[in-house]
Parts: sequence; C-alpha cells; structure tokens
Amino acid sequence: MKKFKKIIFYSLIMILVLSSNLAAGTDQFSPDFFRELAEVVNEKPEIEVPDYQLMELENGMRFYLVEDKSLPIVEVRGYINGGKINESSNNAGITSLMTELMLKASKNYSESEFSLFKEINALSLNLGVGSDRISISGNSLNTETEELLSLLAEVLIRPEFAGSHFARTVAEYQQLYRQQFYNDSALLNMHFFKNLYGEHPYGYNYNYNLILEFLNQVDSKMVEDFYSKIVQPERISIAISGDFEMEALKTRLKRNFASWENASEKPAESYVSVNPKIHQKIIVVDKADATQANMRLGYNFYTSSYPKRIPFLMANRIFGSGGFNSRLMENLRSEKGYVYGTNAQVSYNDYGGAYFINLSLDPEKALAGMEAVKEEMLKLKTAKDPFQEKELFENINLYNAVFPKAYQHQIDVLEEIVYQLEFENGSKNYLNNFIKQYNGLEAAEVQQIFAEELYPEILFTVIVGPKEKILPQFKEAGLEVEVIENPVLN
Amino acid sequence: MKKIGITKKSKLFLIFMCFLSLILFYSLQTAAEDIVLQEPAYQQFELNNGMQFMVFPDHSIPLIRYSIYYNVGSIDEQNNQTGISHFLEHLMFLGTENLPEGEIDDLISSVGGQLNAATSFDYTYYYHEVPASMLELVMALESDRMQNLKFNDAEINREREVIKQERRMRTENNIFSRGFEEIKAHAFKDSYLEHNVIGWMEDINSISPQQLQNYYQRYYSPNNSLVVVSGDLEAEMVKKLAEEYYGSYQAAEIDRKEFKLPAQLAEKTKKVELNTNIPYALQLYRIPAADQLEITALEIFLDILANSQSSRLKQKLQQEAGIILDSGAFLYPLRTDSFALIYFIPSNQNLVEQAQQAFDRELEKIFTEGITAQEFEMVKKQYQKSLIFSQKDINSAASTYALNELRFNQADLIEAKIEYINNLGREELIRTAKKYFSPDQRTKGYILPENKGGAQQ
Repeated sequence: MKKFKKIIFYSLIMILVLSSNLAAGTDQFSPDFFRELAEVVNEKPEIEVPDYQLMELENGMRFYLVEDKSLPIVEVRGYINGGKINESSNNAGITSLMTELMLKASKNYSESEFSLFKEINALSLNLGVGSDRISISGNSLNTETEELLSLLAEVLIRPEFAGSHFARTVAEYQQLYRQQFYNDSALLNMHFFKNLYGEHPYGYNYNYNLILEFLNQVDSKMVEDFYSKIVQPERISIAISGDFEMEALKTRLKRNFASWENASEKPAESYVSVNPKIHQKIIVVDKADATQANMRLGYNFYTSSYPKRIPFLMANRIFGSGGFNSRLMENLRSEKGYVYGTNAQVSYNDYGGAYFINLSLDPEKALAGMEAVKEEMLKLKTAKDPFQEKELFENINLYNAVFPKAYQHQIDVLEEIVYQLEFENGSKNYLNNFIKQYNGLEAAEVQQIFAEELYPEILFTVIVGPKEKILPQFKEAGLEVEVIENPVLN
Repeated sequence: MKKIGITKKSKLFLIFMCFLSLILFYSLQTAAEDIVLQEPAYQQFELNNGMQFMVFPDHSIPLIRYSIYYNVGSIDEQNNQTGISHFLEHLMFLGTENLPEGEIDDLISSVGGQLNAATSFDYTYYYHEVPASMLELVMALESDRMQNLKFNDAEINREREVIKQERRMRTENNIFSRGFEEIKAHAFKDSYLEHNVIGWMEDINSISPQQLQNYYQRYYSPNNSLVVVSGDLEAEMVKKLAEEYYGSYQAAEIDRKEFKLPAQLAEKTKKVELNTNIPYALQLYRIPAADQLEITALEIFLDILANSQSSRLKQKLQQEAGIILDSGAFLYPLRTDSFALIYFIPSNQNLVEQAQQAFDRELEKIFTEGITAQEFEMVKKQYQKSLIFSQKDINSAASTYALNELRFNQADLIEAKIEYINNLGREELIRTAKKYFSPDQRTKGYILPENKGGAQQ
C-alpha cells in the first residue's frame, strides 16, 4: 500500500532588534545594482553519452549496460512495454493490481520470505504503472548485485498471484478506491479524464466505479492471464549502471533471464477518439465539506509523436510552468491573489494526450479564476500579448543551467537513451539534440506554435467543491453547469 | 533464512535455492560489520557578528545551491500569532526597500536559476539554485532581504489570501492532515507543539503588518542565521563576499521563550469524525531533542516495528491478520523536545478497536521479547546503504550537517550517531524504546468516518 504511505508522508510533510547601523552594502543596493550582477548567459551544456554495451538475449530482452565505479552501488531502470493501454472496460485497474502482486510474492518465495529477502540484502525494487508502459527501478550496494538480479527475475518471471496475499491485496485495493470518492484530487482526476478519454483504456483507469466492479469479481487467474500477455521478455528493456564487472554481469543476466520464453498472444491497442460533446462543458462535482475548489480545464491533445513538442514545451513553461514568474502565476496569484498555485500541463501518451490547467481556489472565485485563465490564453491566441524574447531566454537559460544536474548521473542518461531508442524512434544523442533544438528557438516561432494549439473556446472544465458556493456565480453569468452528486458523500 | 513453500523440485531449482541460501548466509555475515560514514569535505567559518557559513565544494556540475537558514519556526510563535513564521516567509518574496515586488523571482529566473523557501517547526530556510558564477547575486539578494524587507499593508493582505488558500488546500481538504492537526493539538495542548506550521485560520486572519515586522526584526538577524553553499565553488570566494555583504550587519539579542512540554500523567485519547471511508489510528509520543543520541535508537526501533516491509505491524497485523491496510512511523526531531507519530490504518471502521488491541500486543511483545539479531542487522544494513546513496547528492549531506549546526552548533553530530549505532546493543535499544513509547506518555488519536447511520465498508 505504497499509495497510503505516500499520501501520509506528503500530508505530514506539509506542515529584535533591527540593526540601527546600515550595512555598507545597503548603500549600493538598487534594481540596477542587482541587474548588473545578474548578467549571465549559461553555456549550452553537453551531456556525455555513456559508452554502454547493448546485450540482447535470444528471447528479445534487451540490456543496456555501463560500468560506473564512482560509488559502490548498482542501479537498474527499465520498461515493460505495456500496461494501462492494454486494459478493457472489464478489467480496469488490473495493471496496478498485477504490479502490486508481482512485488509481493513469487513461485519460490512466500510473501514474508520475499520481503525478508529484499530487506536482509537492502534491495530496492519497484514497478510504476504508466499509460503505455510499466517502469522498473531498483538498486543495491555492489556487494548485493547478484541478489538484486535474482529478485528482478523473481518479480518479472515467477510472480505468484494465487494465495492468501491475493485476496488481501484485492480487499486493500477496494478500500483504496472507495476512499478516492472522499479525495478532492482523485475526484477531479476521475471526472476529468474519464470524460476526456471516454471509452478508451486511458479513461477506464480513472473510472473508480469501473475499477471497483472489476475488483469485486477478479480472481488470480485473470491477473495471471493478463500478466502472461503483458510481461514478456521481448517487451522489456533494462538499463544497468554501477560498480560491476561487465562480463560477469552479462553472465549473471543470461543465467537469470535467457531461458524465459515469450508467450504467443499480443495485446491490442487503439487510439483515443475525441468526443466533441465535452467541449465547453462545465461539470461541478459536489463535495459539500470542501473549503477549497479544485479545478481543471483542458482538452485532448497530441500523441507522443507530436513533432513540435520542444517549442510547445518552452511555450508552456512561459505560460504555466508553475514558477512564480509564469504568466498564470503572475496573473492569478501575484496580481489577483486567486490561487496558491496554478500550472499548465501536457500529458503525452502513445495513443492520445491531454493538455490541461490546474487551479486550487476559493469556491466563490471559481468563475473568476476560470475566466482569468481564458483571458491569459486569449492574450496569446490573439497575439495581443505575445511571448517576449526575454521570457524565452529565461527558460532556455534555466534549462541550460539545470540540464547538467538532471543528467549528472550515468543511470539517468542511460535510462533516457533506452526510452528514446526503444519507444520513440530516437537516437542515443537525443539529449544533446534536444538541447540544440531548444537553444535554436526564437520567441516568434514559439508564440506561433503555441497560439495554434491553444483552444480556449473548447475548454472542458471540472470543478470539485461545494456546489452551494460554486453554482450561484455560474447561474448569474448564464452558464450551464452539470452537477454531479458524489454518490458516496451525498 | 528458513525456507517454506517450495513448489518446484527440479534439480535446477535445488541448485538455485542452494545458491540463494549461500547468498543469504553471506549477507548475514557481512551485514554485521560496523556502519561507515564517508564524511563530505566542507569548510566552516563565522563572521564577527555571529553569522555562520558552511561551504561544501563539489565541482561535478557548474551549479551552486545557496541556502540561508534562520533559527526560527512555528515553535517560537506566541498564542494568537500562530503561522507568523510561515506568513513572514511569504513576505520575503514581496520585495525590499531596494527591489520591487517580483524582482527577486525575475532576477533569479533571468540567470537560469530557481528559488524557493520552506518553514518548519524550528527553522525557516530560503534557497537558490543558480549557475556557479551567480554567487554574488544571491548573496546580495539575501543580504538585502535580511535587513530591508518592505511591509506594505495592501500586499500583505493580498498574500494573506494566498496563505489561507494554502491552508485550505493542504490542511483542511486533506483528511489525514486535518485529523492529525486536531489530534496533535489535543496531545500537546498549551505547548509550543499545539499548532502546526501553517497556523490556525483565525490567527492568519488577524496577524497584523506590525506584528510581522516585529517578528522579522527579532529573528532575521545575522547571529540567528546560517548560510550553506554547496556546489562548484571554493570557500575563499564565499568568505570574501560574506564579509562584504553581511560583515557590517549588527548582531541582535534573541530572546527565546522557555521550551517545556507540560507533564503528561496519563494516556490521552482523541477522536475526530471526518468525511472518510477509511479510518486512521495515530499514536503520538514525546521524544527528546534531535541531539540526543537515543533518537537514533528510536529510529531503528520504529523501522522494525512499523516501517520496513517485514516490520512487525506489517507482518502480523497486515499480512497475517488482515486487519490493517498499512502502517508507518515518523520522528520529528527538533532543537527542543518533540514528538513521534506511529500510525496504522484499520481495514475498516469496525476493526479499529481490534487493530488497536493488536497494536498494543505487538508493542508489548517486542518490549518483552526483544528484537532478533536479523531484524537489527537488516535495519543497520539499510542505514549503511542510505549513507552511501546520499553521496550522490552533495546537497543532501550539506543539509544534514547544516541542521545539526543550526540547532546545536554540532555539524558533525551524525558521526556521533553512527558511533552510537555501532555500539548499540539490542537490549539497550529496547530499553530506550520502552522509555519513550510507554502508554502513559501516549495520545491515541482516531480519524473516523462520520456516522451517517449506515454501515461503512
């Protein structure tokens, strides 16, 4: 139940004399003084591409390997190509349940033995469920490399779905999903994405009613069958970096994974269909006890293969990165005090993405906040207040400064290379090409691309909060709103 | 390790299992070694006005992180002014007498940097992550706002609305945070731990600009601050600029209140009914200040009791009995006596009492029968691993050393802690846990589903 722990962890996490003498420096302090100090153009960084070795087993499983002796550790990152995209309306949520069970017990280890083996060897191993693939991450000290690989093999090849841990995990998941109806953010996700993605697996995954229906009738065989389709060696690519000897590691990998065979069945995948009926629609999900409204406005967007991702990324950073000097924050927080935070996000998936803006605000200011967002969009759409070179420069300068940190460690670079080569038709020089591309952008180009893809007139809006405080402002403005009574709450 | 549930009997499998057994045996042997700390290289100096500096050079990337810590947080606040430390943190971004509102963000953004701040129970800190050549800029900006902050009524009132939103978003509309706030207030009533960092809404509404200015003048002085710079630079440059930008500031007299928690004579209980399906059970205990080495024993104990995947609570109450969904524990070590939180999530409302009794039995059992050598070694091994992994990021080590310096003038406290662990016996660990996790020092708190007349699932 990592999700519970995360929720609690993050919840917890959120919790005279004036000098009579002026400092010598104070005399010089002025806006000009500070601006002079701030004159810097960061160099375009160069990310070192590790000299990795690619080892492909006969079953198609691929390993990208590179030694790194800087610390006595070994790190593993990788992907299983499949996941939520392969679900149907009859098994919504099965990928998350499957990965939870894969990390609990195997054919060789009971649940308690499994956790003991992990902890006695200080191993870390996790699976993360995404829309199109399942991510793998793990690490150990170099003295436990063999144990780490053994554990990885247990998890990937020999998971045990039947047993007492199955029924208990299902019961825990049922409680987790029932609880989502009491959580503002979860309700926002559910009503936004299930409408945006409609009858598509991306949408099923946010439909908690559908997931609960599935959990009420799931058995271990259903999960085992799904596992057999999705988790196959030819669908897996793994990066390993750390303090090991290359040839010895290759031998260990072959010993652990070479005899694993692929299943014959291939899962089906399909594209998202855009539903024009949700354009301009406003939904209010009533949550009477909420003192704050959570709002999301957005529309369907491109797949991961959208060719203008880099200029759009830079444009969206200027518009709504969430930083204090983004346009949305300057308007909605600094000027109007409507929100604590607001940001605009793009979610790219292989079969259909989404573009959306998030706000958390006083319920009685919901309409004002919504209009302020549209106003900011229109300023760009109509080029009334186009992006300035200075705004673009700041974001390029920031990326040039932080890129070396983001890819400071070899495993991070190698993971990106694996992702690009395996799933994006990219090259191993992807990161340096990316740097080159954003450094070559100009404000006019970024402005044009962003303006072309902004559609304030079709925004689909979901607001979770107390309807008594939200509805009057919309009624007064003559706007039609669909109200959803939260069935658990009301 | 005892093996059970073997399902395959092939020769290959037996070889595999023998191999694994050897691995486990080897692991247990090696795990008994002492924990070793690789201390980061750093330099430390103090200005004549008492302002402290720590420099952690790391030339792997051309960035620096400049953090300034002020030794003031929510525990320093008076009644009716709860949340003022955090309120002041927000004002630090609204400009100075020399720099208009928004300019700090703009300047840092223009150089490709990032900045933010955080307020805690016992400190407030501000940080910038900027290109290494921008050390002087961030030094000057922080110097300016240490002395010349602007207090404008209209801007303060606008920011007040932002802070209220933050409180609603993070506390009021989060089931666990809201329940925890009430339960902790009951546990530590009439003490410096009663309120959370965000403060009570009525105080956020009523804190005046003058009170904010007084608070700033009292605590934002050079001798109540510590600057930590890590990254691609040398200490000599920091020293030179520190003298230039802070050297002439005068030390202030910091008049601190007495931090003493009222005596607790018996166990307390608090129930909070909220709009939730899942109940939460919280156990709050008092713990000593962060410089007491016993804290380390408590950390290890809590991992064995509640945090590890193979912890007692997860094994017995979750996996075997199925009466809880999860368990965990946190320590909140501060410069004063503080608190520990152990929580478990009963599987449903009807199991709250049963889960509480089972928790009490497990705690008693561990007190009576002790922990196993294997449990102790597992946690120590994980501790060693964390220390090694923390070397990946100099900022992580820098913040550990900085907090120990800020709170206790003892930057290298972690070394004493590691020596303590290496000499710690299992019996002493249990004695320490019993001393602090006794029933009469506990507050049991429950976040329960509001009673709507129907059965909860």
